[in-house]
Amino acid sequence: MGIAGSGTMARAHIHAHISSGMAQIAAIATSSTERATELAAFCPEPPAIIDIDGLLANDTIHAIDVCGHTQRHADVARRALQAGKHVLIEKPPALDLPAFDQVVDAAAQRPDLVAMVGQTVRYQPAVSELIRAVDEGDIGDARLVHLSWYAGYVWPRAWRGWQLDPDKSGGHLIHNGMHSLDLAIRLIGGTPIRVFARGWNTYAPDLPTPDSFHVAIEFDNSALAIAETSYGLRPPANPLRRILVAGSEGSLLHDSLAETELRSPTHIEEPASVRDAMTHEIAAWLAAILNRKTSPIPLHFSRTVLATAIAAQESLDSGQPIELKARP
Amino acid sequence: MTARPIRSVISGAIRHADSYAHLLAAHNDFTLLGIYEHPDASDTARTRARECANEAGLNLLDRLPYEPCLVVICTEPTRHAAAARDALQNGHHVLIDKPVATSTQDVQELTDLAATSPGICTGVTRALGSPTTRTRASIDDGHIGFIRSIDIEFLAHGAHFATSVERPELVCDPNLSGGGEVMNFLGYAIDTIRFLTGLNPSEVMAFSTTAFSKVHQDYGVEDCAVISFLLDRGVTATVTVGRIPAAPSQAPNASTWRIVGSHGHLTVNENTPSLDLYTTDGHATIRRIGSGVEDQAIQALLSDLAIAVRAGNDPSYTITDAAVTIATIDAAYQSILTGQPTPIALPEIKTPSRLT
Repeated sequence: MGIAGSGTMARAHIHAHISSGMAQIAAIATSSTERATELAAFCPEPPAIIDIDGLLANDTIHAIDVCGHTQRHADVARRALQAGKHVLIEKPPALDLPAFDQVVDAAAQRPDLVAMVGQTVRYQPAVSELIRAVDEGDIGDARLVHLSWYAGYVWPRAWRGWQLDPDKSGGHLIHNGMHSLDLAIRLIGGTPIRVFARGWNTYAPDLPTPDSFHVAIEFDNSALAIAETSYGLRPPANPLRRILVAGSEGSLLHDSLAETELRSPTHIEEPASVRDAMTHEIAAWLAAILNRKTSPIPLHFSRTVLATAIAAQESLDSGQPIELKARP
Repeated sequence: MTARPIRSVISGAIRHADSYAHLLAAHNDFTLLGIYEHPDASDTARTRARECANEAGLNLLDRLPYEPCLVVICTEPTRHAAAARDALQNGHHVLIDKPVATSTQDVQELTDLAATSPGICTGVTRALGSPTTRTRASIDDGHIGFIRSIDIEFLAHGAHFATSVERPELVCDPNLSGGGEVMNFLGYAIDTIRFLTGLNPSEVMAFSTTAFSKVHQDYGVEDCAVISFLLDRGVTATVTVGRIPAAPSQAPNASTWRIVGSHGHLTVNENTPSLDLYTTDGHATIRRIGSGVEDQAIQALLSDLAIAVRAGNDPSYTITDAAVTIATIDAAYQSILTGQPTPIALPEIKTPSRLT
């Protein structure tokens, strides 16, 4: 396994790879030797610290986990696929659709490779169970999703400068909005045709990007979804999550309020409903590689999610609803 | 000394008349004289009034009393405004079931008439119920700082459709209901938002669908909607509203709120408190404790109205508040029709708004 990047997400991914017990970290490619050296210390066997070209040219590396700066995700992923590597791309996979389409096209040329966008939320235990219940028909056809998704404002490495810069993050609807949008679209099973978004700042009024937003989504199968997201709650981490899915024969509700909160000023115990999601996500990708299966999250689905997130960001910026069009 | 009960009459027995009859009969501040239906009403309406009077052991009245009393309007929604005008013009106080009217023109005429009438005119709201007033008290005490957003989910349970709605047409046929579930239920959420924030909605963007119900589909009205609001001062709100096959509640309606403030957040479930029952067959059932917010909110509204009638003051929820609600519902339907965010044209204020 090669890791592209050495920031916060690369650190989390490396821990998840090690926890999965399914991959050996062979190399870390980064512009920061200092950070990479620190990450290498976590690995059971010391990985090489090289540049991205070295990573792509290394025949002993079978798969590349693309972290690092968002604006480089698509280019690195495309080149990795062209170099014959399986690819996991941290979300968002690109800042625009033309860049991501190059990844999709490169993957289409190599159907033997497993390419997947990392949507960690899907692998949270509560969400996995929701998806399973919907897929098994427990509520008939899912036609209404209401997500209330609130996280704490202050957590380590949050709100670094790049996250506030839309040219680097894509904007908050793309950077973080992809979590709830991916989930809403996955649960409904239709294709979004129109979105409308509003944003606001919760307690830092002069923050240049809204820390909170909601997105209403209309689907091609008469379904609706609304996702309210706030990274502005006073307590840190994941204080409140509520997901309602209404179907033709029943409804599903997960509410984190029912979960015991284990929190102290110096320690936050991750709730069981979200625990070890990154490890589950990476294990799913690695299992698909090892068992020669198709990607657990097809790239064409992630393209739909990215297109929806980009449209939602455009809606937030313009104050207008945005219609989504199929890829030409 | 105990004050003499206020005399009351139910006008029309089409929607919720049975419930009001029970609540008025049980309320110490009111005495119920009987059921009245307008002589020009349909045979169906007059038959229903007779049946309701018989079932409740009440008189069937052929005219409204000469002496001022409280007239509770329980006709179909599209007749609400006309029945209310009739009662106001005869010097009565008026309480109108929801929605108070089905058009902004009707509600504007009502507010104009109420401004020059001796009687009080108001509509039904849940804003005076215990969940709302307790939440407002917490917000007023500063526990969450300034409100930045409210997320409301109000969903009716399809399993209760046959018992909570007298006839499906009353919420599905626009000739009777004035619209679909947005017309039927959105007002509760708007009242809650205004009462908790002290702000009026200024813009609405609404998406609606008929995703579940054949009856709604047959009448061409929505069964669900997701709605984005911009309130004054940049505060936002979302409302998920409608009727779904299985609402997440043991009650006919599920109503929950999430309120994010500058210094904290609140979550509210209007259907609490509740009791969980686990039985040997492996089933679990949730039971409500108490009468439920629907009845409790109307009892609180009646108590507030009794004070206003006796003191000659405005009630806590005025016809102007109801008019803001109808104007907002109207704007939501405009947004659904045009597919665009719609500014909310608030009604001309003739009587005070006390909710905000």
